[in-house]
Amino acid sequence: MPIIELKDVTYVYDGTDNLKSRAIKNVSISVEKGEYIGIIGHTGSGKSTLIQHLNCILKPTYGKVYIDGVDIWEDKKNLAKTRKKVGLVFQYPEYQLFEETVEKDIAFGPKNLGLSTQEIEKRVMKAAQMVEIDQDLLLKSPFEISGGEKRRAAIAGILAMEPEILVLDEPAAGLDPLGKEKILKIIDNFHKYEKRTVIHVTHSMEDIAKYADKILIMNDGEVVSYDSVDNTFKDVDMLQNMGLDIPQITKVLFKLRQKGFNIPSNIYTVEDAVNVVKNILIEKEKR
Amino acid sequence: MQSLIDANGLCFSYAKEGANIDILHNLNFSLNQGDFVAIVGHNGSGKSTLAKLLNALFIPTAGTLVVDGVCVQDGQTAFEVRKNIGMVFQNPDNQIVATLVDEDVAFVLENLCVPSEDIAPIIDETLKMVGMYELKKSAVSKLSGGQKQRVAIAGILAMKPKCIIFDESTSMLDPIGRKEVLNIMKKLNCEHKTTVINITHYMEEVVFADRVIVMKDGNILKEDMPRNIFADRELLAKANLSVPQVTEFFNLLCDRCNLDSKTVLDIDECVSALSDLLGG
Repeated sequence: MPIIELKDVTYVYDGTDNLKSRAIKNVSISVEKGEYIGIIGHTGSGKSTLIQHLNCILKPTYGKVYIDGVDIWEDKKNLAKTRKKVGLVFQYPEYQLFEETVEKDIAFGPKNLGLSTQEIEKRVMKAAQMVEIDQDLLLKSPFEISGGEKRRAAIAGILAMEPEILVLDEPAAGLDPLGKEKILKIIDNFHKYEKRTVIHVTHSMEDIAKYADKILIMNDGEVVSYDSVDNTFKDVDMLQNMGLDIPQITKVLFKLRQKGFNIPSNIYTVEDAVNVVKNILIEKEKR
Repeated sequence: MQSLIDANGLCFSYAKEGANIDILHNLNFSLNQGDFVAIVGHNGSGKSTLAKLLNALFIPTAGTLVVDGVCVQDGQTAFEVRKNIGMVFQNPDNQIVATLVDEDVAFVLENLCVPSEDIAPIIDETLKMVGMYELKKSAVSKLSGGQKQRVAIAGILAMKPKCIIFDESTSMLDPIGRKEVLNIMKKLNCEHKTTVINITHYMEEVVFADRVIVMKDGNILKEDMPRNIFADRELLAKANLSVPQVTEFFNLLCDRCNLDSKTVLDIDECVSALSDLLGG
């Protein structure tokens, strides 16, 4: 049974249903437990609208959303359960920090789950550790720490709720390269070691190629492709027509192939590209 | 030739709970009309503070900052300075005030007391420059991120500033939107000799600048051409910077295969270097 299933979901945003006011149209997808899904699409393509359906922030105008097999809108009681299962990290989540200390802010979510003081403390410590927030930082005000630290503190607040599904909307936007790398590592660790399902919305093709199992492409509110990384990056023209791009390194190898070099077409990460070129060079030495 | 921007021992600090917090320490640099400069550095390194000083949103606490002959020193000179230095922020939604595209550009001109008969031609001219003329009667809320950012830029262009600072203006945009804004920067710099300062975390954008200023903890670590910056691995590590993906790839390839190191900056350079390796 898929952990997430959307059946024919359409969302109309201003009450009057016409083609223009449909933010997402007939979206049907399913996600298996433990998968890492990347969502890409130009600004305004419906990515954010789509993910807000996953934890009951938006109610589909038509269609159904199932989390763990449960129709989340069937019963009002499902609301709290769904939000516990699905953790959503908004864009620029640091704007939501509000408590006196970082520690209290991270504890806010678990507290609302009605957990014991002991359990809350345990979870805060674990989440802080996952996002590399030190002890002394926990006692500071969230407003006196750096931008990267704020972002990580905000994400820790969601991780502390131990969601089955972690949904993130451009979690690395606006961070410097080191800060970005840290965030991506945290998400990857949560996926790998905690075995959680991850839905990651991004504009960076380089990042998505490196971490995701599958890529979902949105365009004008519709799912145009939902496939493996390999198959997704095959169709360069389609991607570029939709305001998207392919990783720099993929473009380089694509151009080399056009020049007549015998190079595989499914390379999206630096590591793979280096290995491929290195092997060709070794072969060449032998001849 | 007199430089457009001159910083001498520029410092900025603010008082907090009785103590002075130093943000910028003794910065020295100068920019000429027509320069294209990228400013890079970690979050909190002082890039945006510097931008706000250049636009007289902040006033230096020590040292001097002269913009087109006017010293940034108090509210009195701020208006003069801002006429010459335009700013494009990260989020266009924070910068756009009107509901229609052309009205947003008009807002700037009305504030500058431009005679009303002159306003319409300037709006048309600036919207054409950013490729938004066809959408001049559109509602801003219906535009994509890249289009909104171009409207924000048009508003700045209408002031005819000598210099435009892009403070992470591409960070919220999708790849095509980012390209659109970058192309406008290049065009303004090339065709209109506008001085462009691009503050960014995208190393692929840094490559297009003539010069790069690397900041760390409120200091300027180095100022040089992109090629020299990206070749200086020690500096990159010290400033927590990354390099474009093709540069990273080629460096790693050279390391793993014991080749002479070479810094490639973009896709074409990488393709040509690889062709030499594989073909020759």
